[in-house]
Amino acid sequence: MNIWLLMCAIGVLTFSIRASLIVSAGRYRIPPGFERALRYVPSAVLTALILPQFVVADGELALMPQNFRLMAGIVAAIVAGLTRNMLATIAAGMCALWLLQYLFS
Amino acid sequence: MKVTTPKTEFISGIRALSPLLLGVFPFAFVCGVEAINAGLSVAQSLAMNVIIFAGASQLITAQMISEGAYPAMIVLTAVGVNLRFMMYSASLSPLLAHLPLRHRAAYAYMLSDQAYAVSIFELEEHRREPLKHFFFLGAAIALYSSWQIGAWLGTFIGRAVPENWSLEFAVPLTFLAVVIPAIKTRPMLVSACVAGVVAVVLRDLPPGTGLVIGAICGIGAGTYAEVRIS
Repeated sequence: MNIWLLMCAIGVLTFSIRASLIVSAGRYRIPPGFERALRYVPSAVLTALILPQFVVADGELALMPQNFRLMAGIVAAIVAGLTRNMLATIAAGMCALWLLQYLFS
Repeated sequence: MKVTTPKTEFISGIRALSPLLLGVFPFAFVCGVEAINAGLSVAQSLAMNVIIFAGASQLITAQMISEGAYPAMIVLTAVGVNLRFMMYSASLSPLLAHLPLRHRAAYAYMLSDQAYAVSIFELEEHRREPLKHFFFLGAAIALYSSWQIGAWLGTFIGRAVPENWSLEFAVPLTFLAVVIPAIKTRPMLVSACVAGVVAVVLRDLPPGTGLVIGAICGIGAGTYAEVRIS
């Protein structure tokens, strides 16, 4: 796979999306149905991306306390909900992971 | 009446964005690290931040490359995640319409979640004022340059970070930090849950497939939930 080609494809398409309405200067309206669906893209795509990384270990579903990443993820999720701060969330999650790894392995 | 000049608006924009930089640096750093870990060269990792300039999709791309996903899947997923920029483009469009095409293209290129978030209210409240786009320009440039710095650091220093630090765990944490505050309504929660569960259930499909199908199901579920409520 040609990485440069891949990046350029994504880059060009992404720029087209960004420019889509700014450049056409309000000549086109997004249909309301599409606009409604767009609203759920970030939450759907990002959750679909990350949930497996917390609950799946070596291909197996791992919903128990021994899954340190899941435990650390829960801690981070709580911190994210309370603080809405990216740095705090990352710090909390990493510290939780390191603590669990240090104490139990 | 307060006197505003392009310069004062520009600086206001930078000021408005600066609190968010503390969260942006780690994100950009991780993007640099993950690109290298996925096997990209230094040039490719650095270029990614200029060619694509969208953190979430860059991380997804790096991950899917490491997993050996099909290029078409990677493009589909990365671009799918970036579709949210269409919403930003739509709401900013009337406010930037008076600018020349070249300028509008430049503003569009630098569009980011953060620059949009700090600027949109300012721009809407002061619709009539002709200099407000400089506010957005300040915010956008502040974010863009900080991002490049973070990504450069991640690209070069990333190798020096030991493996057992599990630094790659910061990646899903970064997304968690973005997703959780963003889930503000019940339909959004529904879309997130459905997408996540479907992606987990379909984990044995070729890399990226479960993600795309899960996301589509999540978007459908969220839209349905919203329609049901209203």
